[in-house]
Amino acid sequence: MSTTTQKKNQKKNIVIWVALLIAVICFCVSAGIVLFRQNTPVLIRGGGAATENAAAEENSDSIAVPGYEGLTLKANSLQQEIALRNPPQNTCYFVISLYLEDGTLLWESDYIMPGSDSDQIVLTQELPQGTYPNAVLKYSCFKMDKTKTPLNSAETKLTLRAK
Amino acid sequence: MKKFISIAMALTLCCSCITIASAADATTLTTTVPDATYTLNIPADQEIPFGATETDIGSVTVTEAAGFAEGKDLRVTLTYDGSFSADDVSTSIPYTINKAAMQSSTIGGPSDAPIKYPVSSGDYLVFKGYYNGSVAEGFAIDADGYNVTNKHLEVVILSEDWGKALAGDYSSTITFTAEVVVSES
Repeated sequence: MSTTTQKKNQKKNIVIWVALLIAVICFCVSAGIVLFRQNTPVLIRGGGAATENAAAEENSDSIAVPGYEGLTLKANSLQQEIALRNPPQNTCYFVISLYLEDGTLLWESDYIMPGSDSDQIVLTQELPQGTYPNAVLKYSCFKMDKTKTPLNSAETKLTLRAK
Repeated sequence: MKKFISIAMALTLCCSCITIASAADATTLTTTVPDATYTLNIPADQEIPFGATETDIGSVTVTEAAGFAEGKDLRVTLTYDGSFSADDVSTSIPYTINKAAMQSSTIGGPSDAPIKYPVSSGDYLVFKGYYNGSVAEGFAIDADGYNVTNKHLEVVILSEDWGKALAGDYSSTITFTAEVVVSES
């Protein structure tokens, strides 16, 4: 075999090894992303989230209410990219309402089943860019029966940031 | 002319080096404080048996807390109107809520005999923030400074108030309001 052919073969081998190495790296990165995403929160936009816990067991003795110190909304827009969740361990419906500090209703959800998200938030009025402290997320809880009997409710105070 | 250009270039080079050196000296430190998140667990509905004077209605706890710190706490305020009412009955049944508290200021201390005392509407529990981002899940501190175990919220109805109530299906709800606050002490 001539020296030129040997060199060509060597180059070929190098190319194959490099390609193989790239493929292995790509596979590792993809696997890492997939594994990482399994532990990421369900609801991300707005800066807070309730983590989906696959092992969450239903609990009829208490009601789990997700709380946030703050939420970020799109300024000057009614349509938002946030949905709020009724945690899967609950055994009641949620109706979630969002109020400004002065009591202005910004949004109210439909009945949300445990383990489900609300529809994406559509505000009743656009918020100019700014910070809105002491807003309130009200969680009204209802039995999952025909009469939808009211249960204890919860409110969480939070700061809205319109950006 | 060549000399002049050489000197000019040398000076320019020196200036560039000084600029780079001074830029390298300035270190900008930044940090982002995340929004705290948590799950507030409140008692669900509770059927109060007729005639019961003290009924355990469950506990208030906080789990899956993140973004807290020492000095950043979660305050949970209880609000209730203090009476059961029914749609088609004229009478109501007054009630109060009790909570269990520890007598000592430290959990696990020698004089930690639990005591019960009423919680007025508007009273609150404080879940202290921890350095690791979570909050105290198993106990809280109330407005009077007592350590409160979260397992014993009780509805108290006096026997004579049961006696005054006409037959009917009565109900009442309690509202729990959670707020991230800066520590008071």
